[in-house]
This record gives sequence, C-alpha cells and structure tokens, in this order.
Amino acid sequence: MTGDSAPGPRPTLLLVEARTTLLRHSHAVNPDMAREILAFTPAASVRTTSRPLARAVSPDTVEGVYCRLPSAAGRRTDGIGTVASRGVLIGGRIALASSRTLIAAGRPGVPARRRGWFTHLANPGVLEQIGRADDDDLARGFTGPSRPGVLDLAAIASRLLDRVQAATMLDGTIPLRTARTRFRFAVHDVGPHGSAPSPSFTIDDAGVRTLVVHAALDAPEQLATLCEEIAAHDWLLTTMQRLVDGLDEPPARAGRIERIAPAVEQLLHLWMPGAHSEPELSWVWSALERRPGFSRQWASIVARIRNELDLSILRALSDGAEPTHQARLRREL
Amino acid sequence: MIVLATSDKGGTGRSVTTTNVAYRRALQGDDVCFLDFDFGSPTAGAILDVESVSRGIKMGTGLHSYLHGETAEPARIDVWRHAGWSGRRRPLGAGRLVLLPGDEGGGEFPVDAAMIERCRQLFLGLAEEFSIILVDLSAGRSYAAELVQEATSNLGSGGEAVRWLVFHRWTRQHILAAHGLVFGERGIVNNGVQLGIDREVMEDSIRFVRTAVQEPDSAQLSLLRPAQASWLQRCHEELLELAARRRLGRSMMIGAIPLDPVLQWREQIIRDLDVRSTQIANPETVAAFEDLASKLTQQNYWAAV
Ligand SMILES: Nc1ncnc2c1ncn2[C@@H]1O[C@H](COP(=O)(O)OP(=O)(O)O)[C@@H](O)[C@H]1O
Ligand SMILES: [Mg+2]
Repeated sequence: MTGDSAPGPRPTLLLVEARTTLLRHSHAVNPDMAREILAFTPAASVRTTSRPLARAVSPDTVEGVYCRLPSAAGRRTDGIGTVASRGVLIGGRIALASSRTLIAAGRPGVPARRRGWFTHLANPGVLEQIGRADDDDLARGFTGPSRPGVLDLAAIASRLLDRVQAATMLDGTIPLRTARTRFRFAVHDVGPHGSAPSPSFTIDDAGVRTLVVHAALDAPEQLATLCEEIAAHDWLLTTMQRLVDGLDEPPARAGRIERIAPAVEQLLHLWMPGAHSEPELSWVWSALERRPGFSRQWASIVARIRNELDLSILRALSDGAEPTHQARLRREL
Repeated sequence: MIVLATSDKGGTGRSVTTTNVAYRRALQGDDVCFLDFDFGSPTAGAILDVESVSRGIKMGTGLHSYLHGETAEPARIDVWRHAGWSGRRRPLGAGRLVLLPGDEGGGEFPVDAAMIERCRQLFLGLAEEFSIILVDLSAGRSYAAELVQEATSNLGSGGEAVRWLVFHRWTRQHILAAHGLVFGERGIVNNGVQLGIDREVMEDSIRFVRTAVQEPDSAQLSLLRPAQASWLQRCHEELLELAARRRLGRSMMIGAIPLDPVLQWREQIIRDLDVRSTQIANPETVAAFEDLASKLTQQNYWAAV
C-alpha cells in the first residue's frame, strides 16, 4: 500500500470552471454573514479578506469522479480521482462557485482503478488519466461544446452555486436580474522557467467564456483565485454592458434611472481587476487588458452611465424638479 | 414571477395562448423564459416554430431529463435566434425570450423527492435571470403539475410570486371542468392548502382565461339568422351565469381570447405583421394577448375583490 501514496507524475493541465451570479439578497452581506453562507463543512473555516475588497472563500468540497475526459479528437480517455470546488463571495455581492482539477498522467504499477478511493482522496483536486490523449486535445475538448457522459465541472460548480444561493440567511430579494455566466479556464503547465504564449480569450455562441493560459502549475490554488477573479470581472462587464445596451433601445425612456440605480449602487465599486491575484500572475491581467481590453470596456460603460445621469439631472432641473436621487447616484461614479 | 398555465381539458388553447403571451411580454421589454412541462405532448417548439425542437428536444437534455437527473442543466433555446419567423436577432427594445423544451418521447412519470428538489433549484436559478417564468403544464391533474406545485410552494424567503392561469373554452363542460380543477376536493386550492399555503393567498393567485371566445355581438356572427342569434345570446347569458356561480365570474377572469381564424387553422405565434400587413389575424386577438401579458404583473388583477 505504501507505494501507492507516493507522489505520481506531475500534473500538466489544470481545468477550472466558474459560475458567477448576483447573491440572492437585497444588499451586500457583511463578512460574518458571508462566513455563515459559505460554511459548508463545519470543521473547516471560511477565509475572509477585507482589503482592498471584501472576499470570502469557502473550504474546498471534494468530489470523487471516474469518468471520460473531454477529448476534442474523440479519444477514449478516462480520468479517476477528485474535483475540488469552492464558493466565493466578492464584495458581499457577487456569488461564484468554481470547480477545478489537475490532470496528471497515470502512475506506473497498480492500475488507477484498482487502487482504493482513499489513495485518490489523499490528492484532492487531481485526476489520474487512464489512456492516451495529449493536453492540447483535452484542453480543446474541455473548452469546446460539452458532451454527455464526459467530466462535467460545470455541473459540479453549478450545484455548489445553487447551494450558496439557497442559504437560509439570504432574504431572497433579487435587486436586478442578471444571467449566470459560464467561464472555463485551461492552464497548461510550462514548468517553473518555461516561456508562455499569451493567453487566449474567446466567447462562444452559447455565451461560454474560455481562457487558455500557459503558466507554472505549482500553485494551483493561486491559479484558481486568478480564474475566479477574472470570472467575476467578466460577469460585471457582461451584466453592466447588457444594462447600458438596453438604455439605447426604444420603449424605455421612462424608468431608465430606476433600471440603472441598483447596478450603480451595488456593483460599480466592485471593479478592481487583479486585487486578489498574486503579483506573479499579474501578466495574465495585463494580457486581458490589451485584448479584449477589460478596463477599456468598463470605462466606456461607466462613461455611458455618467452621461445618462447628467442628462437626467439636467432634464429634472429644467422641469423644476429636485434631482436628489440622480445626484446621489452620480456621486458613486 | 412564476406563472403556471394549466387547464382541465386538452385542446383548450393553453399552449398557444401561453406562448403568445410569452412572446408579447418579451416584446414589452421583459426577460421571459418558457418552460414546456407538458411532457406527454411538448408543443411549445412547434408553436414557436423552432424546427430543431418541434416535438421536444432529441439529445436527452430537455426538462424531462433534467428532472430525472440525467442532465445537469436543461437545454435552453434562444427563440429570437432560432424561430423560423424571427430575424435571427432580438428585436430592439425586447427582452430575452428563452425556451426550455421538453424531451421528445418524454411522457408522464411518478415524482420523487429528488425531482422536487431539482425542480425547485431550477426555478430559483431562473428567477435570478428572468422576470417572467411561464410554465406550460399538461392538462388535468398530472404528475408534472403536482411536482411544480410542490416545488414552487417552497421557494424560501422572499420567494418569487407564483400565479396560476387556468384556461378553459367558453362552454358548459369546460366551465364545470375548470371549476373542478381549481376548487374541487383534490383541486389546486386544496392542494396548495395542504402544502401549507393560506387558502386566501391560494385563491388570490389563481385566475381564469377564456379561450377561443365568440362574443354574440362579434362581427363574425353578423350573418346568423335571427333565430340563431337569439339562441346564441341566450346560451352566452347562461354561460355567464354558470361561470359566476362556479366562481369563474368577472372578478376571477383575467383574460378572454377571441376566436381567431389563424389559430383555428394553425398553432402559431401571431405577429403584428399578421394583423397589419397580411391581415390574416384579427387585431383583437393580439390586443387580448398583450392585455393578458401586462396583467400578469398588475397586482390589482390578483388581489381579492
Ligand atoms: N383563440 C383561438 N382561436 C382559435 N383557435 C384557437 C385559439 N387558441 C387556440 N386555438 C386552437 O385550439 C387548438 C388547441 O390549442 P392548444 O394551445 O394546443 O391547446 P392545449 O395546449 O390546451 O392542449 C389548436 O389547434 C389551437 O390552434
Ligand atoms: Mg398544449
């Protein structure tokens, strides 16, 4: 038995799926409440940070899986091991769940499926590959259209997010309707000194976001944090962009301020790219700032909202009304 | 808001009316999703003219499969993008219109606790995203209807408003059947009370929709012989009286959809162009759909009278 718990081959691929939404609550929850919401496992503790932005992270929940791996070429490759998932609350407002697993080549000796589950559980968040398929093939399979019967990180993350949203302390109020976003990350290992091609970011027809990165895999937790942070910012962009796009469309001249108010009050200040990522990974953010240009898009959204508020203040003044609400919102920008 | 569409009998016009209401409500600017819970005969895809799911979805990823735990997330179809009549994109100013189809060959099934929980999670998730969730149930008391009533009775704090639309045709048998479905011993109201909902709250959340109605003074009937016209008038009055006695009267009615020649011949979405340019459909039909669509969220049509 002892030979079995020896470290296996080094993982060469990290797969992460993140689901993001607005917490089902009328306003931002404080750190104590965030801790309660994320306390899935009684013994383990929720980690919280308050600067520069409140962030609470649940302990990992670990799930055993034995299933096909997503090969784009359609190869028969199985994986056996575990998926690690966690819930995250950002600014007490954004709810996110991420599921991740490292893919490692099979160990020589006793076949993976014959070793007891406990040997796999000793290595949470690692899947041992049975059969052949290279990392590129797997990464493309993972970021491509999902197929039935194949490793489904999305399902695991989505169930965990349901669990966060079902927490009994939440008041169930939905201040603005927003779609859950789906973000998939594939991180290829480059070893500690390898050179990395630049990250590639795409959005497919079904709205699934994909980011493929080459980085060192020795700190998968930090990579998961990076993924979560990017997913949260992408959700902010998606949500706000939809809102301002709607402003330009016909029927709704009336009620425009009412429609943007909850977003201005509750979401705008959450924009803080890179706030929780490790400095060694800041190059990923820099690449995203160049293309697709996250902060440029954000700035244009904020400018659009500022315009809308200014116009509305002017209109109110010329009607002899007191634009106190608009003025208060304007100060948030 | 979750709107559950039901009827005691099949062929009442429930699916056609509900899909048209979903379409109108999305045009009014709301994000709307439509759930085809009529597992025996999923017709929403056909009515909306989404070719790939005209008899439900084929890949085993529909609502039926989701409730059975066979797929983690039920398939969604962007109607604006995939309907045959649509310009492949959302009309300016409209909200989203998303169909969650049933499975081809789905059928009825007994309900277990895991399904109720999945169903509940589905509604909670959709409510984050959509302001109107329309659910087309099957006719009569079905497992699907039971499942949905139980799942929606327990959505937790601050939960979404749940409302029922009960469809019936304007005949004696249909009025009696709709009465039974709602107020009968094992009807929707009693069922709700058993699930812990206040009787009054339950009754306030249910309204009736009359379908394919021909008012005796409608233009279509102007060619009747006098004897026919007066007989029809008498019938209509008797039905009004029966409806009132069976608690389907004015205060409980939220819509009456006129008989429309297009819908009589084909199950479909009626667009403004069918009224204005080709003039095959009647403007009153569209007005009735629009009216019902906007009353869904007007509290005064749902409070006790
Ligand atoms: N307002 C209407 N006028 C004329 N025919 C209608 C009307 N509403 C529905 N129909 C027709 O009645 C039939 C049954 O409608 P359907 O919506 O399929 O009923 P259900 O879902 O209750 O079984 C269909 O052929 C439909 O086109
Ligand atoms: Mg039907």
